[in-house]
Amino acid sequence: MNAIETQSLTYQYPNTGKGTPAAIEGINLAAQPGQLLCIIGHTGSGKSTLVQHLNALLKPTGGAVFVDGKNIWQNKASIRQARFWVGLCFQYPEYQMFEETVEKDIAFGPKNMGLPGDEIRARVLRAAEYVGLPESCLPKSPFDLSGGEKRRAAIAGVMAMEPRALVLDEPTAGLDPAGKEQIQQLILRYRRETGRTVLLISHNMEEVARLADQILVMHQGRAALCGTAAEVFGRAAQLREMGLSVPVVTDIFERLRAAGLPVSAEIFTEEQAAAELARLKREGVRLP
Amino acid sequence: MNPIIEFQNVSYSYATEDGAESAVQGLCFAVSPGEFVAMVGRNGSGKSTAAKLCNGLLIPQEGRVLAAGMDTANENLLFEIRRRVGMVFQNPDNQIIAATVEDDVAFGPENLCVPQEELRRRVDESLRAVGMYELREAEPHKLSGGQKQRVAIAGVLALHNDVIILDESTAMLDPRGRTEVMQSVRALNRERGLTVLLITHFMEEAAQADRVLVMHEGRLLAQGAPRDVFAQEETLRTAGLSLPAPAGLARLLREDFPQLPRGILTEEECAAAILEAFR
Repeated sequence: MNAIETQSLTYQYPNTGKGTPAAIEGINLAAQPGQLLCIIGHTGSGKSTLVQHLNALLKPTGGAVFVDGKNIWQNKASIRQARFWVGLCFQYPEYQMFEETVEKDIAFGPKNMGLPGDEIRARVLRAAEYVGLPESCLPKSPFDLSGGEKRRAAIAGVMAMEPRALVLDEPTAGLDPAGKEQIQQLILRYRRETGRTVLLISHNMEEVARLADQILVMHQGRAALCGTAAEVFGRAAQLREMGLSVPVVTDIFERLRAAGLPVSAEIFTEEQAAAELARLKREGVRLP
Repeated sequence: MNPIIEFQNVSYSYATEDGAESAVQGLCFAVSPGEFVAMVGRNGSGKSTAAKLCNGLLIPQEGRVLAAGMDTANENLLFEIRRRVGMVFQNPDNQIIAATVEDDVAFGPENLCVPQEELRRRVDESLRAVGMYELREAEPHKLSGGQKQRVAIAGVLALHNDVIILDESTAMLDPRGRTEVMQSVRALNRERGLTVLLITHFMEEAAQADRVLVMHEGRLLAQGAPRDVFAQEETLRTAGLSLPAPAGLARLLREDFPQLPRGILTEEECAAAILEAFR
């Protein structure tokens, strides 16, 4: 059974004129338990509209959303459950922190779930640990944290609900390189240790190549491509037509192939690149 | 030629509950007219403080800053300094105030009491310079992030400024928006001689500048042409920065291919160096 599934999901924003295309149309998405699914596509392609359906923030105008096999719009209870089962972390989530202390802010979600106090405390500590925030941060005001820490505290707030699927909308946007790296590491670790499903919207193709088990490409409200990194980044020309790019490493390897160096077409990360060139060297490959 | 921005031993600290937190310390650098300078450094390294010191949004507590030859500590000159040294900030949604694109661009010069005809001319010219003239009557909230940032840049140009400071102005944009803004800024620099100080976390953007300044803990850790700065891999590591992606790949590959040079900036250069290693 898929952790998250959409069937022919369509959404037309209300009060848009006749002939206005739907924001998303006919999306069939399937994320298996424990999978890390990346959603790419440029601004306005429908990525955010799509993920807002996954925890019932938007009601489809067509099609359906299933979480752990259950149609989330079945009844009131299933709608409420979707909000807890799918943890949605918006872009720049630190702007939404409002509590006096980091601890209270992280506890906000679990508290809303009606959990007992000691369970809330345990979850806050666990979530803080996942995002690498020391316990000494918890009594601080969110405003006293650095930009990267604030971002991680806000993500911890969603993790503390211990959702079956975690959805992150551009979690590394606007951070410095070290901050980006930290967030990528914590996502990988969270997924490894909890075995839960993660959906990630990103504009950074290096990040996508490094993290994704599966990639969904949105274009003009539709799912244009879906597959592994090899299946998606192997279609560089099509991606470029959609105004998207491939990882820099992939671009460099395209040039190498064009110049006659027999390298694999399936190179998406620096590590793969190093291994591939080392292989060529061992095999004594030479250009004329 | 006299520098258009000059930092002379500048220090600035912010007041905190437990005293003061130093943001920049003994900072010295100069930007020449027409130069395109990028400033990089991790969060908290003092970049934004330095930016705000450039046009008197902050006044040095030690040392002094000269903007177009004017001391930013002289209150009487602040108006003229801010006209000549314009700033574009990070969030595209926080810096547009008017109901149409052209009204927004007119806001600055209107406040300077620029006569109507001249105002029209400046607005049109500024919007053309950033490729937003066709959308002059559009409502700003319907624009993309990259378009909004270009409108903000036009708003600065309409003041007939000499310097533009972009404080992470591309950070919140998608790749297409970033490219649009960078293309506009580069064209303004090349074609009109506009001086640019670009503060950025994207090393690929910094690689396009004439000169890169590396900030670390409130001080200038390194500076030079992008090729030379990005060749200093240890220095960048100290500063908590990454390399432009092609340089990063070259660094990793150097274990097996020690002949790959440092200071590679583009995909093209990286591919050429790898091919050379196989000849």
